[in-house]
Amino acid sequence: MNTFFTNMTLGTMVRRKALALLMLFAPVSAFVSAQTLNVKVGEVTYAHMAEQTGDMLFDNGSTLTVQGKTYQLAEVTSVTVNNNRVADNTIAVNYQGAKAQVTVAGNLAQHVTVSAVGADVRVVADSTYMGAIAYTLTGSSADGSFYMDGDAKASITLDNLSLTSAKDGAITIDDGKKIDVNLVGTNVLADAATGLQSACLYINGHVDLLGEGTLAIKGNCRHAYSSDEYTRMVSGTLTVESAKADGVHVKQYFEMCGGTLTVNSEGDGIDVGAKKKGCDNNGQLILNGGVVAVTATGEGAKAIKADSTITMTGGTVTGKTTGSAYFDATVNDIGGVSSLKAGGKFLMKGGSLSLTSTGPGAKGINADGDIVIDNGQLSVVTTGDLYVYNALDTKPHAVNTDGTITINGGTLFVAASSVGRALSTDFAFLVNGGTLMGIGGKKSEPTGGTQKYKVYKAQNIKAGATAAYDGVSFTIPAIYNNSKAQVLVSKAGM
Amino acid sequence: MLLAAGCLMALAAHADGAYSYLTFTHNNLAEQSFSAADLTITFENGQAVVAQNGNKTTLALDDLQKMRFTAEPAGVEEVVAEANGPLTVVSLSGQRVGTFKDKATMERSLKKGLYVVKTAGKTYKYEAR
Repeated sequence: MNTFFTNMTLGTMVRRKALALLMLFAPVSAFVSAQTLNVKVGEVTYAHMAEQTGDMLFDNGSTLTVQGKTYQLAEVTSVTVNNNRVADNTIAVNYQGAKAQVTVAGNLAQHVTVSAVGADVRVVADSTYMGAIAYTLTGSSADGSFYMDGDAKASITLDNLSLTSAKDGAITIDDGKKIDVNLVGTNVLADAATGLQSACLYINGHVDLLGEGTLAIKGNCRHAYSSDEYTRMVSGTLTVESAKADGVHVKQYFEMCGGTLTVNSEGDGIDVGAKKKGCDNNGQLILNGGVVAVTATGEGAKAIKADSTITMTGGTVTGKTTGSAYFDATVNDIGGVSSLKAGGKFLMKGGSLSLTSTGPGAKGINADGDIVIDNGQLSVVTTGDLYVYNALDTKPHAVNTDGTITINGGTLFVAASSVGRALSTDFAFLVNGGTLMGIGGKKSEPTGGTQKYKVYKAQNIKAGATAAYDGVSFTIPAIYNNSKAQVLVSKAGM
Repeated sequence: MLLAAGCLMALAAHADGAYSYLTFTHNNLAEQSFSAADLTITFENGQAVVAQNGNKTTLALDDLQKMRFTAEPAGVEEVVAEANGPLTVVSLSGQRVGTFKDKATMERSLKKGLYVVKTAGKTYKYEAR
């Protein structure tokens, strides 16, 4: 007996011994309290928490059923027990070169069909499970992909993922529900140069882009990013390094709330379709915050395009096109180019918008509906020649609309090339406020409004110089020259 | 008071999921437990091969009815005098301590503590004092 037990009464000894036994058991119990039964089938591991398993039934020596999931024992690689906890409702995919390891939370096991062939991973959740599933994709593969389908909302966390598909899209989400994409660390996606994929990253669903990480995408076949419904960019950094078609292709609406979006595309930079009739904001582009920089280089490509209204209330947006207008034989007409194209109205209420178009016939802003500027900083520059195709032509106006133009506020520098107008409309052009300088080869003149204006003819406008008229002053961009410019200026108190 | 505290600790441990053993039930309802720590089971040739700490036990799959996690090993009881023959001793965390030719040898060899003792037909709990 050691000294610990000396000089004690028998009763005390009994109690101390009981305590000692409990102390012996307690740490052991704590140590083993988090057992997990891992059923590994190929590269897919189903992690069943011990406390959720209950009776795990063998049947006829050929199957084992755990948490409603029946495993064919001939397909089971191993069953292991360890202390690695896996949170309910989670699926983790770790890409490891030519293969991928998938870990499925035990509570999901009976509801999902999972395969990992090489590094091509497919997860399909059945319609009996309506809880949210949290997916995490990590690791790296130069020949891998991720496909997910289901009937419930989900979150997809990209955590330092580098994924290139050699035969398809990199990530395809067919779910159709609310999908949160969380960016953690540095992520890179690229798709195959050929294939049937719509985009390198395709999501059929309502998408929120979240997180503080970065995602770089190469759309080597068609679009870089595409969603069938809306996409809201809340935070994070999304960079479309290249796209054969559109950089961001969205079929309901796109809302920029925060974060940084950079697009380099051969097709449209951001293209919002109006494919969801009856749904909120169908066809709209909403710029509320964040930083956007788009460069579209293809023939007929727009930097920023929406089939319906484009509204800007905040953020910093830069759009640039370098391509030419073109003749579209399918409609027997010229297909235009512009840095910003609105199929409906263009409404600017705040933020900073800078647009540059340099190709033949390329416009800065082109709207089918009314243009209304209430506030914000707007700079538009076009430098292209007239585009001519047989008897048809199109002019590189800086701001053009089939509706009215109304300027109520803001600071506007608008410059068209020598063959274009600064502001062009066949309807009303009203200036009620703001500070405006409009430069073009052809005259732009308001048809009305409450604020005075002046027009100066045959002005020699030089790149890099300061143009100042009646207290309205701007530095001329380095790419712009016009030796016979018509200059429109207006500001409060003129 | 100490006992009450102990009961609370034990309950807490149980509530946390103290699933220390994986217990198989055979078709004849006999039960067989393995310490769950670092256990690996593979299936081959109609058998489940249970491996742990270098030891392997083979179970006929068509003789298995079910398995479940348990807080205590099945069939555990104090080592009785007739528990002779080779005795394999493992710690509560699943570490193999050794195999002894008989109970007396085992009792002389073990340090103070709680152990699981496996014989050919049964599993026992044993406290070395």
